[in-house]
Amino acid sequence: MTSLLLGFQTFIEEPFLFVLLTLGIFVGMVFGAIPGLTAALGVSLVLPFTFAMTAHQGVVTLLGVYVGGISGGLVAAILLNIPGSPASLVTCFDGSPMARNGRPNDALTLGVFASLIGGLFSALMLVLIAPQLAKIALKFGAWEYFAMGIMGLSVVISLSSASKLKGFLSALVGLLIATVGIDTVSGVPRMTFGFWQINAGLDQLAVLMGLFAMGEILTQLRSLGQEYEAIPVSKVKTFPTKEMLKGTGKIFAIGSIIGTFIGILPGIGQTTASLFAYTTSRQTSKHPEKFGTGIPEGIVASESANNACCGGAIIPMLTMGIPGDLVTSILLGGLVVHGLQPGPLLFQTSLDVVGVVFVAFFLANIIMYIMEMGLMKIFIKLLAVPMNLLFPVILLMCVVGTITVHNRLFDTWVLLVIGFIGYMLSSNGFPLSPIVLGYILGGIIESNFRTAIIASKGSFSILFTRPIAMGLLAFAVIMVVVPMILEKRSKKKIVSEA
Amino acid sequence: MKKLLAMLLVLAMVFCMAACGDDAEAEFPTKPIEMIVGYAAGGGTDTLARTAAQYVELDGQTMTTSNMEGANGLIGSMECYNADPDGYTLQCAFPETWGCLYLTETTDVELYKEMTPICSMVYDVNALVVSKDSPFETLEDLVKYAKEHPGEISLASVATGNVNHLSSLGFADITGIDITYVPYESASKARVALLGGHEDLWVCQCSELKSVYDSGDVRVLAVASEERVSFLPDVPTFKECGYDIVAGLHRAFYAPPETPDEVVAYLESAFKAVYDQEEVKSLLRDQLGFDPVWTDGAELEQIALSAADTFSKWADLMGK
Repeated sequence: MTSLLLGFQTFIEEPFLFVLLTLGIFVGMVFGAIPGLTAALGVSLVLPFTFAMTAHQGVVTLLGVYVGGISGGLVAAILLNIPGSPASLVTCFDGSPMARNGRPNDALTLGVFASLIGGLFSALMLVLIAPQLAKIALKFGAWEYFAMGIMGLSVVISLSSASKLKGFLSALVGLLIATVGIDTVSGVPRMTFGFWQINAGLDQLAVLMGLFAMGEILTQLRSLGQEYEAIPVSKVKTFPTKEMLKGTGKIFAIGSIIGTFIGILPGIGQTTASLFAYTTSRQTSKHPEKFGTGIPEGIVASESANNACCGGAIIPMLTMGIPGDLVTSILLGGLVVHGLQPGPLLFQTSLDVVGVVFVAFFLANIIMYIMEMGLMKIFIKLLAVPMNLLFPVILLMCVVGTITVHNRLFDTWVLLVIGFIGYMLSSNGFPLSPIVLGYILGGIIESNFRTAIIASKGSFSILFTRPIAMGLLAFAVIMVVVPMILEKRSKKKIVSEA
Repeated sequence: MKKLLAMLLVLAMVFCMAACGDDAEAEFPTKPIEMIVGYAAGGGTDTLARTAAQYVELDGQTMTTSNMEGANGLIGSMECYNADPDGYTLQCAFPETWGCLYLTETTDVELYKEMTPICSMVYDVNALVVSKDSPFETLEDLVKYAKEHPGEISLASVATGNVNHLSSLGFADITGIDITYVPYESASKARVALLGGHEDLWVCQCSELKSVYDSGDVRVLAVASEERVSFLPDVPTFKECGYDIVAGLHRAFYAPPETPDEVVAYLESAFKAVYDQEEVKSLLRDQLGFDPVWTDGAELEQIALSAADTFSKWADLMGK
C-alpha cells in the first residue's frame, strides 16, 4: 500500500509523467489498431527513447504503449474481422458477427469496457497480492504446462461446430506448423527444407497475420465491387447499457481471473489467455451454441482476458525478474538499463519505482478507456471506407510489420504463403481458428512434455503425484466427452420423437 | 515534359551511383554500422550490444543494433555470415556457442572458425546454482550426496548441445556422479524450475543469476572460471574445488568471414576505447551483471578453437 501512495506522490510531483503516459497509450493504440503492427513492436521501438529519460519516465512511457497496444487491436477485429494484433484474435469470433448484425458501436463499447474491467482487475491483483500470486506460479512445472496445453487443445471440439473432422484436420495443420524449426529441447532442425531462415520456426506474427489478415482479405476480394448494404450505425454510448451487459457478469469474472493467471505464467501470452477465457466461458455457458454468432459474452471474455493478462505478466517481472510475456521482457530490459534489477530486492531498494508501475498501470487502463471512447466516432468511420482502398493499406502494414520482427524480408514470404494456404483451407470449409489453436499450443505442449518426461526419466507415474496437472487433464477429458454424449442424446430424442 | 523529367531523374541517379563509388574509396567508416543481435530486445546480449553502440566513437558515424532472435542466436549469425565483409555488418555472438552448435550438428557451418573475431568486453562464466532451501551448502555436499544417491539429482538448464549442457555432462563425468539434465525452453523457465523446487540444480551464466543472488533466493556453489568472478567474491571456482571445468560465454563482437584486417583493427580499437571507460565497466558489472574482461581478436580466435576442443570431449559423452 505504501508503494501505491508513493507512486501517487511521484505522479503529483512529476506531472510530466501524465503527459508521457497518455502519449505512450496513444502510440500503443496506433500500433495495436493497425493490423500487422503489434504492441511488442511499439514497445521495442519506443525502448531506445526511454534510455534518455529518467527511470520513472521510461517505465511510464513503456507501460502506456503496452496497455494501449494490447487494447487497440479490438477495433480492427470488430470492424474488419482482421485482428489488429494477435492479442485480439479471439475478439473477431464474436465481435465481427455482432458488427455485421448492425451493432458495431455496441461491440466496440463492450470490447473497450471489458478491456477496462480486465485491466483494472489485474491491476488490483498486482497491487494487493503480487508476491503471493507469483509463488503460485512457481508451482507450475512442466507437467502442469503440458496439461494446460492439452486442455486448451480439447477445445478444438467446440470451436469446430460445422464439421468435427475438418476441425480436427485444421488443428493438425496447426500442430504441424508449430513443429517447424529447431526444436528447443534437443536442438534438431525440423521441416526447414534447407532454409536456415526458419530455423527459429515460422514467425508468430507472420503466421497469425497470414491466416487472419491475408486470408480474410483474399476471401473478401471475391465479393469486391459487389454492392453491399452499409451497416446502419447506432448511437455511440459511453458506457454499455444494462441490456448489453445482461448475463455477462460471470464472464467478466472468468475473463479477468483467467487472464491474470495466464499472464503470471512465463511465456504463454495474451492470445492464449483470451482463447482460454473464451472457451471456458463457452463451456460453462447455458447456450454454448450461440458463441460465434455475435453475442456480448464472446467479446467480453476475450477482451477482459487479454488486458488482464498485461497486469498478470507484470507480476512475475516485478517480483521475480521473470517476464510473463514478450512485451514484459522488453520492459524488463528498459528497467535494467536504468540500473533497476527487477526482483524481490526492487521492493526494498526502489519502492518508488514499484509504486510508479502500480499507479501507471491503473491510470493507463482508465486513460485508455477515455481515449478509446472519445475516438469511437472516428473508428466507426472505418466502415465507410471502401474495401478496395482499405485492403492495400492493411496488406502493406502487414508486410511492414512482419519485416520489422526480425529486420528481414524473409518473413514476408512466410506471411504470403501462409495466407494463401489459409485462404485455400477456409474456402474449402476448414475453420481457421483450430489452426491457430494447434499452432500456439503445439509448442507449449511439446516442449513441456519433453522436459517433463526427461525429468521423470520416461515414467508417466509421476503425473499421479501432481494434482494440478491431473485436474487439468481430467477437465480436458470432460470437455471432450460430455458434449459428445449430450449430442448423441439429443439426436436420439429427435429420432424417438419423430 | 514527362520524358524530360525521366531523363533528369536518370541523370540524378547516375550521379548518385558515382557518389557511392567515391565513398567506397574513402576511409572506413563512411556510413552507419549495423550490429546484429541474435537475441530478443531487452535481454542481456541486447543490452550489452546497445551499450557498446551507444558509447562507441566512429569518427562521426553511428552504430545501430537490430534484433534477429531465434535458434540459439543462429538466425542472426547466419545473416551476418552471409553479409558483405566490409565491416558495416557486425554481430554480437558467443564463439563457445557456435562451437557447440557445430559439434552437436545443429548447424553445418563452422562459424567459430570462419567468422572474423573483433573483441569481447565481458566473460560470462557458467555457475552451478541451488535455491536457498537446498540442503547443499558446498560443492562437496552435492557430490557426496549424488554419489550416495545416483540418478536422484536433477539439473535444470536451457536446451541441449550447448555450453550449459556439455559442461554439465563434463561435471558429472569428472566427479563420477549421475545427474539428470533437464532441458528447458529458456533461461527464465529454468530459473522458475529451480525456484519452484521442480529441479535441484540450475546451470546458467552469471549474468542470469544476479538478481536472484542479490535477493538471497539462491546460493551459488561454484563458478566455472579460472579466477573468481568480481561480483561473486565468496564463490569458489570449480578448479579451487579440484574439478577442472572452465566454461562460459565470451559475449563477443564478430564481423563476417574475410573482413579486411585494417577494418577489424579500427573496430577493435574503437571498442577498446569503450571498454576503458570506467563508466562503462561499472554499468556492465553493477547493472547488467557482466564481469568486464577484455579479450582481443587474436585471443578470441584461440579461445574459440580451444573451447571447441574441450567441448568435443564432452560432446562425446552426449553420444554424438
